[in-house]
Amino acid sequence: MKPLTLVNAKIDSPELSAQAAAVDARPREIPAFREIFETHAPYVWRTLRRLGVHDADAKDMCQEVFVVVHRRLPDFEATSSVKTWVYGIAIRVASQYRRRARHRSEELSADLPEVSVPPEQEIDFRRREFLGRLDRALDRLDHHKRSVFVLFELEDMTMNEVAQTLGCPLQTAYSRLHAARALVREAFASMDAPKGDE
Amino acid sequence: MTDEPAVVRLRLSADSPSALAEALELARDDVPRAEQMHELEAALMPLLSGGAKSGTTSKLPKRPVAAGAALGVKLLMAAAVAAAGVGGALHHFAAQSRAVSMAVPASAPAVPSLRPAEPARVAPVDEIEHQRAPASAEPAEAEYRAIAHAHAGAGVTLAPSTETAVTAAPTAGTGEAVFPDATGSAEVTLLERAQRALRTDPAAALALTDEDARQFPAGALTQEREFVAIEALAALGRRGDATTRADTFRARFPDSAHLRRLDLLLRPTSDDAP
Repeated sequence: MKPLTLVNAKIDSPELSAQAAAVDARPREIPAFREIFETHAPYVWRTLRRLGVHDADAKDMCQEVFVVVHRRLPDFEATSSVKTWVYGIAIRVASQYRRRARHRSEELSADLPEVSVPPEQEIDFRRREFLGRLDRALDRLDHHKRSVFVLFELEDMTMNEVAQTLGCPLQTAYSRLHAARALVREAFASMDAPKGDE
Repeated sequence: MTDEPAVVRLRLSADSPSALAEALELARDDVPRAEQMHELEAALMPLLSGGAKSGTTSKLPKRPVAAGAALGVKLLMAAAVAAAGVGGALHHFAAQSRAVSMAVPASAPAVPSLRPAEPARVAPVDEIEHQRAPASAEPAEAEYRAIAHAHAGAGVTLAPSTETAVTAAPTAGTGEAVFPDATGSAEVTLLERAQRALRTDPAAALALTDEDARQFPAGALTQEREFVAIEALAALGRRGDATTRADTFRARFPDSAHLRRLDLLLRPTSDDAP
């Protein structure tokens, strides 16, 4: 089976084909687990956070991602990129997390500090406010749209990589991005009188 | 393809609302802090030390963890020192290395003896998956199966879910697993003190990192020490010194996982403008 991205790229623009070729041109050797961890862990963590994983749970969920990566690595065949494979696992871990979180939403929203950063840093006030707004906007998206948005807008994936990560057709990924952007823009517009809170 | 083939990312797009562009930019910087990364590394340490050859590429053996763990505690603990970092992780490691050192002379399995060091252990995969989603373990497996198929093609044989991460591996039973940490634990202790001092007394933290550099010029925790020193300089308001040291850090450790955090730490704030 060929990766979806290559199949879909055939119907696409030269640029997308070039992107697909770039994906295709990745080395076929499978990196060691430590290398995968060192390359991707900080960004997997970042992705999990924007997919709705609470700061206090981010370490555990990131750990879960890499435990799965480690377990699956012997079966990973490098017909696609390690990156999209690892992120795909992260997307699923985040999805499960959110399903579970719905059952204990009161715990999540209540006691825990949202961003556990050293409060003495000036930048953290701004960070907190803006990240809070972004997360509230992202909370309006379903998991599919949210995933596309995060992978494209924050992780700088190509749309081919996004589609490959999510295992969906390229066209679907584009539609979800389009819809997600509209919803996020709308959310920001409605919050645009910055009072620091809703 | 009717949709935009070359989509400009929102944070770079001129017509994005500025608040949205800024939020996205900040979200890009929202990577884990150094101590969070170290805690994560600590938690995954048994996996990271098993069969890890940093910087090389190799197809791992079918059951890499069991094989790695069976190599013995020595490898595990050597990696512990290498992976140990600032903050809470250091504390866990100190506790953990003591626990292992004590467990080694006995014939009891060494890896399970890590269990009391709760924050730093990696649970068996099944335990993680089942404790978190007892009702959805099946869908979870199906999802992973689906993604494995999507990426690895048809005909993939997945590892049985009964495979455990590390704790099930029996030790080799040799008595030679001695933790060579006379140097390592002293370095950990010193950095731990520096890290603790950072919040309350950055000048003291900086002095401790200098002391660390004197005592352990080629220590296993050089990156962590340098990072604490840069944080201390920034906290002292010595941004110029912090930036200079950060530049050296970037040149010396171009692949460091701390770089993003470093960027964030030294990012100019609006207050910097004269």
